[in-house]
Amino acid sequence: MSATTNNTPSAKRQVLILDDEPIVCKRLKPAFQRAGYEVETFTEGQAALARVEEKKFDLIVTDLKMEGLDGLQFLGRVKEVNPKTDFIVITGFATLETAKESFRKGAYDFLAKPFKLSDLMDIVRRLERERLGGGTS
Amino acid sequence: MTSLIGNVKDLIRKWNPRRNGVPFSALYREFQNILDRNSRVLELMADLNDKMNGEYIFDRTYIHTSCKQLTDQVFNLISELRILGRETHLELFIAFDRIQREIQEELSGQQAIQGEVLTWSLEEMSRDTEDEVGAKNANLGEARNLLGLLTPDGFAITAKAYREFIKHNGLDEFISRRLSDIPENDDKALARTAREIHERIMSAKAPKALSKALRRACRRLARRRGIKPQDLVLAVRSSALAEDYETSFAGQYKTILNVQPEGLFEAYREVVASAYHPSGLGYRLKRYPEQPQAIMAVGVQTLVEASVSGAVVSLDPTDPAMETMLVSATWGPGASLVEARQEPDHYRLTRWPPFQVILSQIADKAVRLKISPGQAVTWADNPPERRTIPCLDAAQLEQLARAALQVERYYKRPQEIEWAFDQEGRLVILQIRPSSKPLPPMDFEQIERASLGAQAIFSGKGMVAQRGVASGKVFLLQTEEDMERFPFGAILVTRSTSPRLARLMPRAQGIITDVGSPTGHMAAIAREFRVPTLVNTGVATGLLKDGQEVTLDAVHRVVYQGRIKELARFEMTEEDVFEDSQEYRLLQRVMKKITPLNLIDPEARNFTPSGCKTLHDISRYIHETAVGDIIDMSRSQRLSHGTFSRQLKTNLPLGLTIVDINGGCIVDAGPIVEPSDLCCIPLLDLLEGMEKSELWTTEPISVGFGTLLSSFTQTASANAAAVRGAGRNLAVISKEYLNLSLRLGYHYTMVDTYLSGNIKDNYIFLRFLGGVADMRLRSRRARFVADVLERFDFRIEIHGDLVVGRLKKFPEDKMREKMRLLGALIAYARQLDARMDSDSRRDWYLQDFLEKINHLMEVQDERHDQQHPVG
Repeated sequence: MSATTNNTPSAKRQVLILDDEPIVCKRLKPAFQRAGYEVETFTEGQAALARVEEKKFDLIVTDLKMEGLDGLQFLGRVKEVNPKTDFIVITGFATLETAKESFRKGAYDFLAKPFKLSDLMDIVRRLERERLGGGTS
Repeated sequence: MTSLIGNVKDLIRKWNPRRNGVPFSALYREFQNILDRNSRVLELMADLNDKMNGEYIFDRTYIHTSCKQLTDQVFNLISELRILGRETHLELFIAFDRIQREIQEELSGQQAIQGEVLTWSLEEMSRDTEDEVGAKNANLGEARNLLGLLTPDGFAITAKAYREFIKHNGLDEFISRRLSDIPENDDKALARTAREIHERIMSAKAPKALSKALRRACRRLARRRGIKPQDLVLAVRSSALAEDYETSFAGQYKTILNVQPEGLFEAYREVVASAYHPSGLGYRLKRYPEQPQAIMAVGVQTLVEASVSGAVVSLDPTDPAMETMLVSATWGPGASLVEARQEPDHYRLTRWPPFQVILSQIADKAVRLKISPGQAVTWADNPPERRTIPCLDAAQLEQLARAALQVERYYKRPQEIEWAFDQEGRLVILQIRPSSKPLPPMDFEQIERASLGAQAIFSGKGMVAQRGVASGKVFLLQTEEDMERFPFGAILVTRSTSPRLARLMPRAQGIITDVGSPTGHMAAIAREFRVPTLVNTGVATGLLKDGQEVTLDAVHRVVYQGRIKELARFEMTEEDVFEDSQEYRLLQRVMKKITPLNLIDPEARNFTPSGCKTLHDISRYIHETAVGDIIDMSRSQRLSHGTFSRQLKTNLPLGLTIVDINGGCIVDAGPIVEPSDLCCIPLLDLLEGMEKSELWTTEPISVGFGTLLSSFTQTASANAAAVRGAGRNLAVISKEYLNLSLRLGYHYTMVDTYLSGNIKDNYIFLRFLGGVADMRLRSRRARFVADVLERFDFRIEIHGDLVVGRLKKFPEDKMREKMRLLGALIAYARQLDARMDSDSRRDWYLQDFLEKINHLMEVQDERHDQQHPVG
């Protein structure tokens, strides 16, 4: 019923959102805050990459097709730095190929834009259940 | 774009579809293509419409791609119509071209006409005109035009006017040069430059066009008020283009009272110059280094003869509980000026009805502003007996509180509102801006505690029509008469969505319904007013009690017991308001060129290509035209190669022409067929529903005054019309497929369905339209039809008296049940509009119909169970 699990850990979970359309960041931010996350948003891939090098994130939500940086490359790089970071890929150019490629690179899930906010948050809750234990998967 | 029309002309010249010998089945395939594409167009429109409720995350790319897809599809649709040999489709291309260009203009952000005007009247202002009239003017326009609050009459002097004024005086270059010359962190130089620019503006001259525009705007304003232009008394206020200038420098930009038309330009100049106050300029240089010039639009209002004036802050951020609002008030006009000299009365009120006054501090108000036309504004003493009594009574405070909450709910931010009560005691809103004191950011744990501690009455049910959070007392609306009693600030709970609820929107905090569609008409109105709305919950009227306090979370689809103020407050602390985002507003604007339906009645005069104002109009025109053509062609000799057009003989006067494209009739069927000769399953079920429901002849007249005589004459005229229109009734069939175009009297029904054992292919698409009675009765009938269809799982859209229903992927037996339902519904509804003279009747007919077909469906179910023991 509410957007979080009951056993909120003392430290907030960290999420990074990367999408070159500011509106996507603006709208996802409060939803993740509401779900108990510390949120950082980026509209440029390079800046996000630099941030990932210095800080560990539990979750990254990223677009695939952006100016200057390919989302899949980004995904690959982050997995090198911190293999434990989970990824949810959101893209407006969803094809079976991009979906498969995302999963191959280790994405947790894949959503085609536009999507319902509640669909994304359902995925996030499922992910939390699996990672925080007590979940079935 | 002229080349588009040219190409089209070429195509038409080369194409001659009315060739002899084209088999009907080939033409029919083309017809089918048109239908398919038409459905795709409607799907795309519905998809776009879905994005308006706030549940979806979409971006600019999505709007662009969807518009492209949609315009491409409509273009192809028009091209395909030529196969049927229409000669009017050049006009359709012209209409299309115009609409497409309008959409393109919106997408590229150039609204050509808007940007050329020097003044705007208040009734044309909204958030969409903000780039021209400035934030405060835009807010005031919406308060008046949308929220229905009373504001002074007036007009805006636009951003265009500002640019002209600056250019005319050679100030553009002067200002940029002087600004770029200011060394960083040199406050003295900044102050010097600010003063210099201020002086230059104060001695600038009016461009001719501006003087003319101001005179004209004043003349119009005076005419509306029934006075001479020279008798106008005006207030001139700033309305900068970027709202944060206004909030951060509230009070620095000038407001000039008691201005007469001949002094308007001087006052305008003074307001524009007030942007060059050193601290405002310093802020802009830091915040917008690339564009520190303040583009200043200005508001001109008729001066309100205020008996009392003041300000209200809808949520006091210094109140730790965040439960109160603040009002300040002083005698006479010009509260903001007066407050600089003497303390006003202060009130603190609760934020919900009945707005209890928690604190009132009554000041000694020695003076007031005195405004006499043609004279300087002066101070006057208040009479001794008025000095220490409160300026406002309880009723006035309540009125203020309501207005403040209404504005706050709409903008989803605490608001500061300047107001006055005029000599007649009416509340007039003078100025609206977001509160300059931001709310402290919400701690997630706070919200979490609040929502975990709260009891959810139901959750995860229904569909969001407008996202948002609302608290209030439940008002259970059962009859139309209840609407009169609907209290301000309540949560409207009712069985079904209905556009008639629009009347309550300004008063409602939130809306919850049992049934209804987020794409329907009411949902669209709820979005206009931004009332949080959850539809189709199935349970609301059952679980919620009249008078119960609840919190509706139409983001996460939960209804909580009690008032959970943290949830609503969280929404107000979100960095951005979705409804104010560029993307939402862009979508809203392009949708105006896409979805509204102007072409309703095929018999009406405007049912022409040039009558098409939106893409929806074009698709509807094409569909209607294509059906008419295919009927004509099925009749014509030369197209009947290999196809028989047959007449169906039934007990009902349907006048139905049957065109069998593949196995819809028995092999040796003659030119006249009976139902027993048909193999088309959907048609057979539909006919069964029509006949066996016995609703065709059953007169549903047991309520009210439906006398035998009137029903007799109605039936007679409807039948006469049926004979006249008999030629238009067509069923194109195969064993699994039915495309039915039926005109009974003045009612049009179109059903397109595929029904087979393969669940994935099954669908029904239908349109119900028209009727003899007036538009109000017809729309009531449309809502009745929609109510019925929604109960039977159809996805519904209503446009006036047109009902569009869709349903997909149901198993065969369920699909057959729906076809029987449709048959019964067509029979029942075909002349209902003349009788539905109130909404309560509509409910009665709904019950009546459901009872009657219930019996029919049960019987049918048994039969089916025997026929298909395994699903």
